[in-house]
Amino acid sequence: MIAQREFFLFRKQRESTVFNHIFLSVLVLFSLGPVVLLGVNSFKSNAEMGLNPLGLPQEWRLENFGRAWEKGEFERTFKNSVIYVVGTVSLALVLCGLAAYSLARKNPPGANFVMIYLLVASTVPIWLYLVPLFFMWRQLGFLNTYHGLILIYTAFNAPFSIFLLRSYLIGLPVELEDAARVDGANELQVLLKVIVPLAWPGFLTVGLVVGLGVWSEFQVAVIFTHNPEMFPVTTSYFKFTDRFGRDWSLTNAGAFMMVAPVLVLFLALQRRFVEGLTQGGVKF
Amino acid sequence: MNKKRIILLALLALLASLFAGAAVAQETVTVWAADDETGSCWARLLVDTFPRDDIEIEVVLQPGSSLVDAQRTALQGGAGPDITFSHGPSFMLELANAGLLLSLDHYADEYGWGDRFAPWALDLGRVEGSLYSLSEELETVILYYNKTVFEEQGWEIPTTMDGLYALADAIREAGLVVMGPAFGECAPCFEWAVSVFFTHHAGPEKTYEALTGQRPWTDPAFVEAITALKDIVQDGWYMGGLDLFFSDTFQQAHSLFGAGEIAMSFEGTWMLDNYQRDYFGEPGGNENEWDWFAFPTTFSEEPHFVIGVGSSWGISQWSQNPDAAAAVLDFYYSTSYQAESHSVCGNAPAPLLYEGDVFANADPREARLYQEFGQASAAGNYGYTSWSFWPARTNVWLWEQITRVYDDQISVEDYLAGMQKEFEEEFAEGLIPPIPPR
Amino acid sequence: MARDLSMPDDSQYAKTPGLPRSKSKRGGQWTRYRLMRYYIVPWLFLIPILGLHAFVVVIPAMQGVYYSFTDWSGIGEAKFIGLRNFEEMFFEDQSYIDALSRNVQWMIFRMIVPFTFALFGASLLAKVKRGAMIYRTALFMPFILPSIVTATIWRYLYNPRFGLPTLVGYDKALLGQSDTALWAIAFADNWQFWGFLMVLFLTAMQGIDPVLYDAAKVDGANRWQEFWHVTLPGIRPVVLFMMMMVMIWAFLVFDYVFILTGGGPAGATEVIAIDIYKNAFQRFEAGYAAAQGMTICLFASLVVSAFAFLRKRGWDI
Repeated sequence: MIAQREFFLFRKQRESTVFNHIFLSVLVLFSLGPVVLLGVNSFKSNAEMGLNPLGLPQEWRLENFGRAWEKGEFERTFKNSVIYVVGTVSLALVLCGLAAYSLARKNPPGANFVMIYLLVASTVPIWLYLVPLFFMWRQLGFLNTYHGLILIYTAFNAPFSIFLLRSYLIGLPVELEDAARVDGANELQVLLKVIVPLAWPGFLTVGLVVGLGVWSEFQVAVIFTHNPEMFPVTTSYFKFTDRFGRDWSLTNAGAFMMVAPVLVLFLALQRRFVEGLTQGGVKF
Repeated sequence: MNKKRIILLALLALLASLFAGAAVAQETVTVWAADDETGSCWARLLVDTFPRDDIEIEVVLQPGSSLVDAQRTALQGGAGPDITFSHGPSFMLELANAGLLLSLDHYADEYGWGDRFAPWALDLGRVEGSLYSLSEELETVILYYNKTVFEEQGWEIPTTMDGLYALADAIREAGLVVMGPAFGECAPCFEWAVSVFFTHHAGPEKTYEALTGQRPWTDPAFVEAITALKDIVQDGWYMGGLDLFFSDTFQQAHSLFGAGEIAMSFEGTWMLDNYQRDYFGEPGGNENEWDWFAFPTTFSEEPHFVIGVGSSWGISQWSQNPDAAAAVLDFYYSTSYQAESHSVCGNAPAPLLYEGDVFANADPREARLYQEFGQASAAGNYGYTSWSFWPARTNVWLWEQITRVYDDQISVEDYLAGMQKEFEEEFAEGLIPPIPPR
Repeated sequence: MARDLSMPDDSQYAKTPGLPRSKSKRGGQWTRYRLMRYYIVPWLFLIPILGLHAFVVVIPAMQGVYYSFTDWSGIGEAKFIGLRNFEEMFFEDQSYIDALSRNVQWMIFRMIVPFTFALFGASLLAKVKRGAMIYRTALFMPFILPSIVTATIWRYLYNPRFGLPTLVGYDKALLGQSDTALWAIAFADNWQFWGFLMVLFLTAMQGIDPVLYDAAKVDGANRWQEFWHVTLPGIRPVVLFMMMMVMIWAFLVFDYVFILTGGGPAGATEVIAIDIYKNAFQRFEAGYAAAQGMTICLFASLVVSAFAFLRKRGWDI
């Protein structure tokens, strides 16, 4: 009996994770292999991309990046995309934060309906309302403006943001809020002083996912902006196309530059980001 | 009473003319263009060389892949550029039918466009007798070949279909792939070969009759043509196998063509510039050369060509300055601008009547193309590309369902019967682009 | 673990000590307070975003709904034709039915493969301390790359001339054959998606009470039994919620298919969204395309209602 228990303790302490590490490494190889390939390919010439798309380049052409930068006019499009991302993320966090708080804590009449509405509305294909929306935006003078696109992006991202934030807020303890209320705080103060400081990893997560979506959005942007001064970074990336096909070496270099800031931001924030997902626990 | 009225009117007229005089300031004309090498080049050229000071041209470069869709949305929403661009007559027909284009008839009279264009080219832009669009970018589909490899192997240029079959056998015996490209990136591109086989196999007259509703698409001549096409595709002429033909990229195919692993390329004349720029010689990392020949026919040894236009221009219903826009179009469709745009930017020339040696600066292979093309169309040896002459729904059927034929999911007969059904519907609705009489 | 996609039940409020029940003596005041507190304020918080969403999506979509009952080329006049589009779609248009069945196949693939990858990865990762952050980051990374680039890499990886097939001596292009193309695309899409799913599952797993694992150990459970009896039940709400999302998203799939095959080869990967795109922008049948778009919403609401129904029946979704 005792021996058995000791054996159990022994096992528990030294549970082997070698097996885990081996399989995880295989999975990492699977995930990162194509990413590395993208990096390597951005150094090849266009003709070499066709003949040797998976190997190392015969010649590491650094100039691909310079050419892609210039031809893609990244300087301008980067700036625009930063504006779109920051604008959308701020607006989405404020508005969706309010809504999520209400749904998670206030249980307003019709909450169920709101949730189902959001789920279904997020599946309306954009072709169904593109033209009417465009017409409306033109009437309002929102075409070719930063706020015009930011409003659209915020609306698009609303369902997901509300869901994620709400599930995050549900996981937080309510005691602190109640304490604040007893101290005479109103609802907005509770939200700002108690919820936001507690839930900021959740907000960060939503912000990252929304920002990522806006950063790589293309289709809506080109329809609602007709002025190159307003184009986002994704349009740079489509500059390397011909009527048929495209220059894949510049495309890859351009893609690499487009992704680089996202990667850096992700790596810098990833600890917080993953914490955002883990600490509160995503609850649905 | 009457007198007073007349004086009043005269005063008003005077006032109006004064205002008009005061408003001589610049008028702006906007144009959207595809943001690629050629597009950005001719856009700059147009702005720089346009002679009139009172008109400012504003070219907006847009990502090519979404240009037409974005413009469609904008036009419907009451916005968009003054000068509208589209992928050719059948797209323009749709815009004209929706009342989004201005009639160009009086501009054509004013500027004398009737004498400047190849007659069939102007007809392409007419809807119920009225001119709505002008054709651009004359193009056809030809067989490019790797000249270096051909010389090494001692292969001759075929002038008949039988000759082509023999050549294909020889190429495969030498361990090479007969031809590219592959259409993994472009589903509509399957229309190229189908267009060529209607004209080069069944013949241009029969195709003309079918397009004008005098002969059904189920005619045995067409069955034969499509069966012949299906056989060579299934035989692996393209890329060595159906799977690669269906899935590879253009770049892949062009690189292999430049490197000499693929002997020929069944491509459009829009590639004339690109092969030299990207895939042959130094940029391609090889020492090969390319040239081209016309796809042979079953009925003649003379070169035949399918005619297509890559794009069309019109003036938007919403344009604030239609007169200025017409002036820009007039300059754009001058032989001198077209020749310059061609030599500087490699833009395919518009179907104008060129006199003398305006393409003197062009690559000799290209010069030969326009020369042979001109001779062929003068002799009636021209046929039809589906993207310029077929109505929209029938054309989608044409490129979408031919892949099912290649994949043995439907028979050639069913394919043509389906095409006939779509065609009849669109014919009844008056959606057939204008077919110039032969 | 909280309950699911919708509202927490009233018991939560009963437990909340901060409610000022005893403070109010007069009924009228209480009602007004109650009205403010439980109706007006929560809705004040909801209205801005719901209003914006309605303004951008729902109001314009109403017009789209109207178009679904018309014969409309996409520009110009729309002719009202009642239910004719729907009639044609369900009874005459074989390509629509085929497309729909491909979406269902896609859905099934999506509900099996990425979930298996993600559950496997997450349960391995949950046990690892050293290097956990690196694994997590690496496995999540494909999710942040733009699909136009990643899709292209997969085209090369599937190429029989130099890609993965050469490793196993297979000499056909997976994307170029009508019986393999859809699965090849789905797998490439899985590569990008599963890391996201994994992070969500991992998060949920860390919320499982460790006592449950200890108990399983005491009972002598092996890894599989532990996973099946402790881990999976512990994260069931997230798994089921994501199942629902994946089912909804399966009707919207467009990107990867459009980039890799555009619906080919020989129509083998033509899913609904591709069909809609073709009808709207290539065949100039925008009214019909709108009707097809409507059916996507319809299927999505069916899925959502099914889950809502199951939850009402007491399933812990």
